[in-house]
Amino acid sequence: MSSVSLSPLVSIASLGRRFVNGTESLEVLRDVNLAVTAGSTVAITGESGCGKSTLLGLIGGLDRPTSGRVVVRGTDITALSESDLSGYRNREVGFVFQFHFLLKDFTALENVIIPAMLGRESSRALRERGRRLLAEVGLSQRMNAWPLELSGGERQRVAVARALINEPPLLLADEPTGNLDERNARTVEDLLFDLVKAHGRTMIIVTHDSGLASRTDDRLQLAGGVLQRG
Amino acid sequence: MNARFIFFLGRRMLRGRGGTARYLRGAVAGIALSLVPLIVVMEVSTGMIDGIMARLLEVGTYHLQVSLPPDIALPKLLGMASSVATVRDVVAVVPERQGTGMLIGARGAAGVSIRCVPPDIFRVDAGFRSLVAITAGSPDLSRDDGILLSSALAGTLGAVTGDTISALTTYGGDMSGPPRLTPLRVTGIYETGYQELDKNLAYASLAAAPHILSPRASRTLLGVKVRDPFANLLPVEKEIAAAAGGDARVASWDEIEYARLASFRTTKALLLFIMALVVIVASVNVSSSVLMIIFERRHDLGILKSVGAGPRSLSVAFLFAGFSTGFLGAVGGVAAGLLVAVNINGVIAGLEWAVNRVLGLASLLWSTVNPSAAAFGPFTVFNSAYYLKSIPIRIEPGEVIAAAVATLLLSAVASYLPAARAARTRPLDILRKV
Repeated sequence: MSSVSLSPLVSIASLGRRFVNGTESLEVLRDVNLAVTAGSTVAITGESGCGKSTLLGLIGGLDRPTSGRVVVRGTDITALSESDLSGYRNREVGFVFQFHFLLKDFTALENVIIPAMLGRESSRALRERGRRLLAEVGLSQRMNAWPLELSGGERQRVAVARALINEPPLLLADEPTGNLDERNARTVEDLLFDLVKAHGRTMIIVTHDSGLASRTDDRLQLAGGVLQRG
Repeated sequence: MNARFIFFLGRRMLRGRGGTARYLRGAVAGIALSLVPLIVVMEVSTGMIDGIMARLLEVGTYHLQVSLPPDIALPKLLGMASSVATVRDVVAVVPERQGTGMLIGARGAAGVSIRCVPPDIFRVDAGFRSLVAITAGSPDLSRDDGILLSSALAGTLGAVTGDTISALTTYGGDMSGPPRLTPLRVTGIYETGYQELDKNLAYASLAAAPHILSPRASRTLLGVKVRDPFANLLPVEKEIAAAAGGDARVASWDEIEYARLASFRTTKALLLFIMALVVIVASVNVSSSVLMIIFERRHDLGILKSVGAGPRSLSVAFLFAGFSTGFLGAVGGVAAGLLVAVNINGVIAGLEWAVNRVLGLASLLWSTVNPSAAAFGPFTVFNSAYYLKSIPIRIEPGEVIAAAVATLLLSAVASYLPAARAARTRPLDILRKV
């Protein structure tokens, strides 16, 4: 487990997730417990299909658990309404997925600022902030490019910038370099760690990449639906 | 819910670089095309019904009829007319005797309704004057032997102005008496534009009525025109009855033409119902388009939900796209529909011209194969024997706005239902499937 803290940023207790399909039932997570302190980085590793992405989805409020609690910054997100959960995803969490998941009808800049468009900040200020973030990820010359005009590495960098636009305290990355070649993977990896450090964020990263995992403060392994120290 | 986000997202759905926008553009075209016949039917039928009713009211039945004893003396009839003319809201009173007979001309004969009216009817009755157009001769009925024929009737009889024709009428009260043959001189030929009125109607002088029509085989009445025939006529009916005296029976135009009016209204309602079904189908098309967009953009939905877009915001964004689709379709459909409706006479004439050119060509080709074959056509959209010669157009803004608003609401509802359902899906369920 991560270093014990009296007030962890993320606190998970007895988390379980069972998928039911007709008469078949699959228990992916059972009795998962985790505490992540603010400002730390945690890697979760494990075999394919062991439930890493499911766990990340539950922490990020993309899914609801069958049992247990996920408390982030003192709020039990499993008890939130759909509307409040949307607000949580918007303000408290930034996601970077294995696939970039950019909206193809929006430019790089628009993709970055779209989470912040749900807030009240003026469009001018938003665009300015989006431009700064894109410059930070090295895409100052590609702001108005459409996703299809960007390379794989560039798309993933746009996705990183989008994850940070609302300055969320928690960054969740699911195999963020899994779809990239070695060179681009290292670039995105460096970028993630640099930005997390520069912006003082907490990051939980799911990965198969032992090199990437080794750069985190804490490493955990998910096996048999249970989280163990890696 | 954030209006900026909703507007931004909805606009991109309509104008998106991806192929999904084509579904909404297709739906816009579908709605517009379905609205065109609705608007055309609505406005043309309104114009047609109004046109026919105007002719029936102004030329046929009058606004009110005061039925009088058939043997009433002419001086008394004229006195009653003067008396009724003083009633409030009455603008014209026409004493008239009506009967049936047969007109015999050089080329043929026709059974007609003969209406004996005062020679100054064109001066006294502005509504009559506006709809009865003299196409040859003059409207002069000052001569006792003068008669006005409709152009259709003149054609049937082979009569032109100045010709003498004969009126054959029965003179016995039970139609069994000896026939009377009265020579009449055609002073003018007219048209009302409504063939049903024109084909069997002739006007003679009221002074000649006792010579042509037997009092026992005809009707005597006062035709009354009021300021507003569509207002409640009951008060004025009572005043007219009082002014006309005890024997008079007053009937309004909607009592006299009730069956015809009900038939028109029913026909229009049925036509509108059928056209409304077309609009509903087109609106369902919006729902299908939104469903297709949701299907093709399901991963966009997942992404948007993952970054914090709530179910309500997403539903409203799709609602905005559907509403915009309905709006654009309604604007296009209403504009195109009004354009066709306003030019309906030209459109029909053009259609008939084009079809008849094709039929003419086909006849020519067919005659080379079969020289004894009859020519095809002619093709007509409306048989003018039953309708107006030319369709008067009257745009009813209320009807047009109602059709457009109903289309908008249908489109909005049709797009909201699938969007609301999609927006409730959990983001991870969507993202896992990409």
